[in-house]
Amino acid sequence: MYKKTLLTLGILLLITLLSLSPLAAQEEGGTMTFAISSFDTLDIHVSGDGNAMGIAWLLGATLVARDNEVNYHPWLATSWETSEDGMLWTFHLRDDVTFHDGRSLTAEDFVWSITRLLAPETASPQSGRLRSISHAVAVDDTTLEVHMNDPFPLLLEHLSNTGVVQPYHPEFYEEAGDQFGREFVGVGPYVLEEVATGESVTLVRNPDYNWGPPFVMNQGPYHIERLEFVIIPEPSTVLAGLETGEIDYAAVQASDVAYLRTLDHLTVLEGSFQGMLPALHFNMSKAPFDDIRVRQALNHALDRQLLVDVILEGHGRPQYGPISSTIGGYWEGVEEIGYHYDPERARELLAEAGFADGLELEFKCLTPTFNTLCEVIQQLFGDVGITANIVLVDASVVFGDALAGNYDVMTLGYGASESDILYRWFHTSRMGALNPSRAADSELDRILDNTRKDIANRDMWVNEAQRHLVEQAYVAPIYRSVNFVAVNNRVQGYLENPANLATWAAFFNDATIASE
Amino acid sequence: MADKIGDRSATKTRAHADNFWVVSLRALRRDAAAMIGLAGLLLIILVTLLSPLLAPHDPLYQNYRARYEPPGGATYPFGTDDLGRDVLSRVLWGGRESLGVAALAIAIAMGGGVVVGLISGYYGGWRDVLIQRVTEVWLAFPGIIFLIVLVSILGTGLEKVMIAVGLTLIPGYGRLVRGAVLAARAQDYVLAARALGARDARIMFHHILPNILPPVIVFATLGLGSAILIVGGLSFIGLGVNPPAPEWGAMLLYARDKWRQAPWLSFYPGAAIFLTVLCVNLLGDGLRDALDPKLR
Amino acid sequence: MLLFILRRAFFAIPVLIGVSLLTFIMFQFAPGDPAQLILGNFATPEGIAEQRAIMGLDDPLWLRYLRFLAGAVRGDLGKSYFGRQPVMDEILARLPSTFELALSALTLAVVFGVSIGIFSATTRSRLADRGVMLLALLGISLPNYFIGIQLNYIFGVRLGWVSAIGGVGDFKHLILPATTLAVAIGATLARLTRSNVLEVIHADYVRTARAKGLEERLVLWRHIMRNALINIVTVIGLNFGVLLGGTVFIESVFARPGLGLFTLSAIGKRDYAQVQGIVLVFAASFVFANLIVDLLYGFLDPRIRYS
Repeated sequence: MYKKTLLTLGILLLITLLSLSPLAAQEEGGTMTFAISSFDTLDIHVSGDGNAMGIAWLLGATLVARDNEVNYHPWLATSWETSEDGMLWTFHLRDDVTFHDGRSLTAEDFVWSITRLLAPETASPQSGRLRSISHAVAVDDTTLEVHMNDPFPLLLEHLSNTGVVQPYHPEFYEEAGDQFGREFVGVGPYVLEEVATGESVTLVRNPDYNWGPPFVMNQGPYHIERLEFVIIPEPSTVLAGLETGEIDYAAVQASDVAYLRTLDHLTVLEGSFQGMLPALHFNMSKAPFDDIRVRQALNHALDRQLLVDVILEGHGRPQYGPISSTIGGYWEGVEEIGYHYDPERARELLAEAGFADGLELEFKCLTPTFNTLCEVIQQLFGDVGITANIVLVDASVVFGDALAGNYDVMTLGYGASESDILYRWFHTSRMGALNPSRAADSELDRILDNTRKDIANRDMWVNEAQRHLVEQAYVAPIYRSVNFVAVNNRVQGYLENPANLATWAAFFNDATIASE
Repeated sequence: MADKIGDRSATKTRAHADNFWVVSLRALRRDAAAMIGLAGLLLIILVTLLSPLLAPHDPLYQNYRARYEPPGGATYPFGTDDLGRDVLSRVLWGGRESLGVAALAIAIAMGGGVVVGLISGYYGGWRDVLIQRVTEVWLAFPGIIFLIVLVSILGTGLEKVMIAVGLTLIPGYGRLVRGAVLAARAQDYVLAARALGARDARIMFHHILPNILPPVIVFATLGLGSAILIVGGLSFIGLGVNPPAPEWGAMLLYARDKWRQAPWLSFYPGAAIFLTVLCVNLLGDGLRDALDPKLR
Repeated sequence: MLLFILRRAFFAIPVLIGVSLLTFIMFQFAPGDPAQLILGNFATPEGIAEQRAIMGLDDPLWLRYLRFLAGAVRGDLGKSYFGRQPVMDEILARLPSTFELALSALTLAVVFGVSIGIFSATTRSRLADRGVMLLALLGISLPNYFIGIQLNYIFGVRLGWVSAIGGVGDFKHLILPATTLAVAIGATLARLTRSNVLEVIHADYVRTARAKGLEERLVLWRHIMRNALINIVTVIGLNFGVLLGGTVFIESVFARPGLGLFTLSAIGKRDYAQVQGIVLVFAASFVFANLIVDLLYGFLDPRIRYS
């Protein structure tokens, strides 16, 4: 926690210093080049790509904005209120916002966008997290009503942590037809110049942008003239581009950080991952993983600090509970009751469960992300007499296998910025959709139900859920991972939170770039 | 009675073939480059087979206190990788996977190709037409693309890579065998055997096969080189072996983004692939020259 | 001649239909439910059922094949699972880059391969011949992905002569990937040209020509090359698949936004709508390339036309 605060403080200090220096503060123009590993479409309703969603957010804006400390601020909505029963949210919109083609934004545009996002024909992979929304109504040009299916305390979080609920331009959508997604018109600080398929995405500054959220210094047009996102899937090529200065900004791997820090023209930032990834999931519908002793033994066999040292090169820290310490609702008690490395205890528990002579299991491993991690875990398991046979599976089949119960032990996990993920991930009613450990635990269900119903005591119930999950050991969290981003020093004045690349929008308001 | 005479003619054709081999091998022995290739390949195979005895360490054992050891040390002559595993031991063991998979894939392709080619060439007619049409479609898929798709559908793992590579190579062998069979079908020994009432299968496998084998062997030897490259390539794009099995292409994949910190991680497996393929090609060239009567 | 062209083109049609059938069948075995893939991790079972119905996934196999074929004929390869972009558009956008790479590599390979082969066959220095052929052997023994990484590191990062991040654009972006891709085919061509030239040099008609007192260079060009050309065309035809396949590795190493890289990313995501389209387009262009090779044969050797 403190590491990140320190980083934020440092950057704030940097910005203060920069704003005192007239030269840097006045600098406008320039091109900043980002390396991204993939891209699919700017039609974020149907995008499955984090980078695409991040870029799309620079082209648009959302109703509310969230700062690094998880406070919600007005953005396109100047204010909002919710009804007593939580079934109706009313947002009051700014009246001075225009699309890139000059047309004014109205509440109707939001209604159209939300309707399209939720329509079954759209088949949006994003719609799942917004299931609680029933429909939206435009009362007048600046008043938007969002009607709910159930009271959903975290609506603001979902409206602010990605750009998914940004206004589309309905007439432009019709006009673009098949090309929508390669063409886009929004209300954001940048205007789309070109999508060169498979190659790059180029944005130019929107000089009319004047509606930045209040917590950034510059609410007007951004300083950097042009942003170019170059698609480079190959990490060693990204590294080469950072070295030569052809790339200004890119996510990098932990193993390259030490080397990159030796280069004077680069700054390497780090941010914590939020959620529980990676974690081992144990298949509760399969013996012997329905035996709590086996699950606890597998937990005790993990030397989490070693995994941090080897896989993350010492960055990051062990994680014992189902949500990371950077999320609101985190309960510190998990550090105490979590399963610490204890191979002796692991062997004892295995012996008690009847596996004194060893246990052989199939270890499904998400490739390529966790290949190395799994190899180290395999050896740690071997040390306590567990033979884990690694089977590589890729992201698209992982969930199919998990939901069908077609695994013994599997690397899985989630990114989440709030604690409601516990309900969505572990509740019995979620089996078949999520709940990959396939736990049907009525006590856990009762606790999780209360996290949504008993809003007044929500914190207590969330703590309780964490305690229960650790005790039952349905999963073995491993570590809180760290994301790294390398930035060329000619870029100055940015607020960066690499935990979430999609937050580019809010954090480049004040950035400038030195000319070459 | 008929069988007996058939047998005698088979013995004769086989003697003919044997003689062919003897002459060819004698020619091969005069070819210094081919002999270097043969010796090198035999050495590589021997080392690979003996890897359990020769490898100084367990290729899978991760020594976290000795990560990224540079090569040249007494304990780790080829250095260690990101998890502290001995690179020398991994390269030695890796040969089993790389060579074994490539060889078995070629065996599948050859076996399949021989059967398909014999049927197609010997019977002709609708069987030939059918097989040729399927072959054309099969060959219309560019090799690597077909392979990548096949492996992604079958799933990763050595057996699957082996089957996929074997399957994609069958049509090439099939065509080669078919061509040779067509030429052989009109030859005296086949006509004789047929006149004597030998069964089709017997003629195909007993009489024709030994005589058309030489070009197939050459083709297979040369094919082994590219099969090793292909298997390595599949691992290199993440569609090969399951970790932690050491395989040369997979080692290259993991070394790819560690080029700066640890260049030795890609050097040794890269060199192993290169040397093996070089030896195979030297031998294959020599075999082709020795067995191709046109050049002799 | 026209009749010959038409006949050959006509024969390509059943192959293309076979290709589409095999492609379609192959992808029936692909793991994962498309509806589940499209809707992602937060999907509900009802949502998945709904989506299957919308996509017509519950229809009988033959109907779905006919639908696929009817679309493919009209140039409609469906929409990608992720991003919902028309697959044909995505492919067409990347095709020029891949063709540019393949054609440049082919040109390099032919120019260097053939000249090296002729040089090797005609040089009087046994050492030079051996040396050059050893180089060619190295060329076919080195994995191209390995060559690519090394070249990029040396010329892109260390020397800074070319862009280290690849991409497309001018000659500077093309030279390394094209060279890497050309190595193996160039080496194959050099070896083949050498042995062809050697074979022809001793043939009767060349001896006659030489005996007639024709100038050595003329003999070489007029007689040897025309005959060797047929073999070169064969090699190019056979290697076209190697060339296209090679782009997968080369484009990945050099970050060139072409079909090869697209294939890998589509497979990585398991976007089978994309993969299926790519395979079909690759196969079709392969059939097309072989058709051209066939026609070239007919052009180079009139005897073939009548057989």
